[in-house]
Amino acid sequence: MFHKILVAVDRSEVGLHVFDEALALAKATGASLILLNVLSPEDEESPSTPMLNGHGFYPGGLSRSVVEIYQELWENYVERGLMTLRSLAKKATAAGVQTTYQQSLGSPGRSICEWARQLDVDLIVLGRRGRSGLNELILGSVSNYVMHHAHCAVLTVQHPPQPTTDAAHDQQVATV
Amino acid sequence: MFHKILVALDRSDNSQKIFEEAIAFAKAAGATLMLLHVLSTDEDVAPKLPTMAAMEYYPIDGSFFGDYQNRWQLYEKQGLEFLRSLADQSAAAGITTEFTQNSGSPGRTICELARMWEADLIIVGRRGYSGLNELLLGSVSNYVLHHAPCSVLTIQGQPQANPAIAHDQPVAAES
Repeated sequence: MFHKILVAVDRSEVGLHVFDEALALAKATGASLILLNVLSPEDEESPSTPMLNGHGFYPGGLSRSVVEIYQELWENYVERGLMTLRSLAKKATAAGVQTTYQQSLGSPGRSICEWARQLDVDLIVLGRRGRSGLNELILGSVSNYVMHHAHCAVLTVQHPPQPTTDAAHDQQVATV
Repeated sequence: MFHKILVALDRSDNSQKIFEEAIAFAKAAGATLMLLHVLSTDEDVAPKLPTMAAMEYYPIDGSFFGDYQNRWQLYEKQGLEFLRSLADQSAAAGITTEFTQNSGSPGRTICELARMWEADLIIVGRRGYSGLNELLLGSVSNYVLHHAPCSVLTIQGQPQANPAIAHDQPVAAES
């Protein structure tokens, strides 16, 4: 049975559903939880790199440099990730499950497998974004990577597929 | 949490570990189990169709084919016995258990049954094939991960020795 469970969480609906399943599992089996939030430019929540569309160069001459704005957005993104981790860890601890959390930077699949090995967990829980075909080929499937590279058991939690990623990207641009 | 767990088992050494994990899981979650064994010519213990090496025809002169049929029936029977003994074990552990044996491509059969039985979790083992072996022999867990209607738990098995060696065994037993 499982004693140490690593859960990959993010702020999406899928991420929260995955967390709920993992918490129920940890409670039932008496396992401890490790919450992992991977910061990655591939994440839909992360700020997009500032570029002027169609010009192919980074605009200068603004009152504040674009790089500074990007940095601020990135710091916000890191802070939001930490806040999510903190609140989820609180919820899990309140449910009587021993919980720690960790934030890391890098490619999600690789980070998850590396941390799992380092912390010697026996189960990884993560969500399926439900991408298939061309979308999977281009955007990559984290669950596929993890399943092939993990040293331990992997639980992929099914979630209905998201409509498209375009809507989310448009929002990002609008808020920028 | 999960209530209906489909466990896909084959008759390799890894199955015992998968079965034990499934029992522990079902007990903790209070779930019911469905044990599935897929009869498939891909399985190592399945009888191989008798072909004469280097001659491109099937020597179907009755005796060969009859022999193959007998061995296939034995394979079916052994599969059922295997499932029955596991189902007894899990029933003894207080878990409601059903079992079934279907034939077909393992990945597809697993996903179809999961849909029909409305499983909310599939437990499969990883044989640990990678690279060329995975490409040629197919990865059941990979197919299931991509096509399952529900959550999937893949349990890490010990990588088998050379699958080519395992394939030689039934041939050797023939003579």
